[in-house]
Amino acid sequence: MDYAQLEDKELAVLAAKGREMAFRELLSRYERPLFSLVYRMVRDRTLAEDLSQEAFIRAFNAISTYKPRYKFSSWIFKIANNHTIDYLRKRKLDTVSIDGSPHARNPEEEAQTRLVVESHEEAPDRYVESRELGGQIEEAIGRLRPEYRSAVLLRHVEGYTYEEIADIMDLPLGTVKTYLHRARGELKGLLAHVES
Amino acid sequence: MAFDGDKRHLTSEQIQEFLDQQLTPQEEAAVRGHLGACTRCQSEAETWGILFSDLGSLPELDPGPTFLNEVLQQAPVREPVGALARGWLDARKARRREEAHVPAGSIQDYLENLLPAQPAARLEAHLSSCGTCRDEVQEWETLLGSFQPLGHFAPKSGFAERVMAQVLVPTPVAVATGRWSSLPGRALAWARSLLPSTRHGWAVAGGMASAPTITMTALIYLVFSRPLLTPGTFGSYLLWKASALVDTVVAVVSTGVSESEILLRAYSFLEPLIQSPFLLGVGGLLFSLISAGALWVLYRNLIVTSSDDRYARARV
Repeated sequence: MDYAQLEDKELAVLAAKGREMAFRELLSRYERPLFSLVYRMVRDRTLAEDLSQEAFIRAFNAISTYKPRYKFSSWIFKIANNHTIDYLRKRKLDTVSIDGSPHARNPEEEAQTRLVVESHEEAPDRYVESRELGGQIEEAIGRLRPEYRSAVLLRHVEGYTYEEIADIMDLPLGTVKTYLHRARGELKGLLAHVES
Repeated sequence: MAFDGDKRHLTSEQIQEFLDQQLTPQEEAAVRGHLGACTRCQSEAETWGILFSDLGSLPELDPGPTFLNEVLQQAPVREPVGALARGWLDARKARRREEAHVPAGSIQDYLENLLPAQPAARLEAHLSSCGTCRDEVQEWETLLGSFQPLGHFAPKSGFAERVMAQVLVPTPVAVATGRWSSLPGRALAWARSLLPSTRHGWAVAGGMASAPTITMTALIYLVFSRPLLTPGTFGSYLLWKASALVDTVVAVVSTGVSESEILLRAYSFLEPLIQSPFLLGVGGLLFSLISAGALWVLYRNLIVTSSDDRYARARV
């Protein structure tokens, strides 16, 4: 059987019947999108790996509860998003910016709160993170509150419709619209500030 | 406005927009065409027409001869009425000019193709005459465009293996290939469907399974709490009863076996095979192989429980 040709739903059904290859195919399809979402949410590579790994394990161990009438990608993104938001709420982990605190009142304060990367050998992960998430838009997304960040990433990186985002985030459609409007408004302001 | 000819009836919104002359020439022609052919929509349009004409002919109400003076007496600034009115009109004009710009939410919806046709057309018409809004749209376009390069990141290598090491793959159900071979698979699937799937289900099953033990314990307690009964005498009594039962069962089975015609036929068929040492050896070898296989399956499924090999439990 060529698992690569099968749809997500078919793979999920086979996985629930104990086909290990179906799990592996689903994993290969979603490891990057899921990891990217979580990574952009927590902005820490190691933590993102742990959280996305846990999300996959949760989803796969509960594969028998997946109902094929729903979109598989929405189901697995919902698990990962909830897991990450829960984590962020528990830890009250706020945005970590390598450019310094967004609440800094002047350039000196910003410099004081700036993350210092000592050298590539000493902090390889931080170096990779600063390279990957150091762009202006990535920085600006990182400064949004987690719910806004999630909505923006699901819409503009994963390309989900508003209805799908509402389903993933367990929110009414109107709230998703509001989140996206406000989030983009904040991004516009942040980017205009950077440009000026 | 989405209007697909005479395939369905007009909505009240479409009829109102038609009567309000808010439709484009093409939409208006389509609505006219539909009204010419559909009596139901025609009567609906007539009803709306009556309402519109009633609303249009509402008379102006006279506030009374003293109204103007009363208002002017309470005005905080004693300015000439003309200047007051001019000021109010200027402020209103400025506010309207401000309100006339397209809100950010609508611009975002427009750029994401989420605006319905009518408001989108209105917005486009506004953009053609408003430079401020055009600039605003361009800014939003730039922002939405900046999301384009955002791609996916890859986790460190070995991610899949780390996930799979902690996933308990369910025991595969036999795949049906033919009419008869599907029976064991179906039977297994049916048996699996009887197993509880929730913690509560397992708790109930556990309760039911332990009910005999609990009952027996209660009975034993009841019996031995009597002063004249000791464990020794009770044991002797049970032994006597059990040996009588075993005697009866053995007698019934041995009589059945010794008188069984099938068994006699089977023995007469197997007799030459048993007497051949080669066939006996082959039979013995086969039996040993099957036994070893069965023991291996038991070992893999019951004894090996390390996390690294957890999903190997599903392999038979």
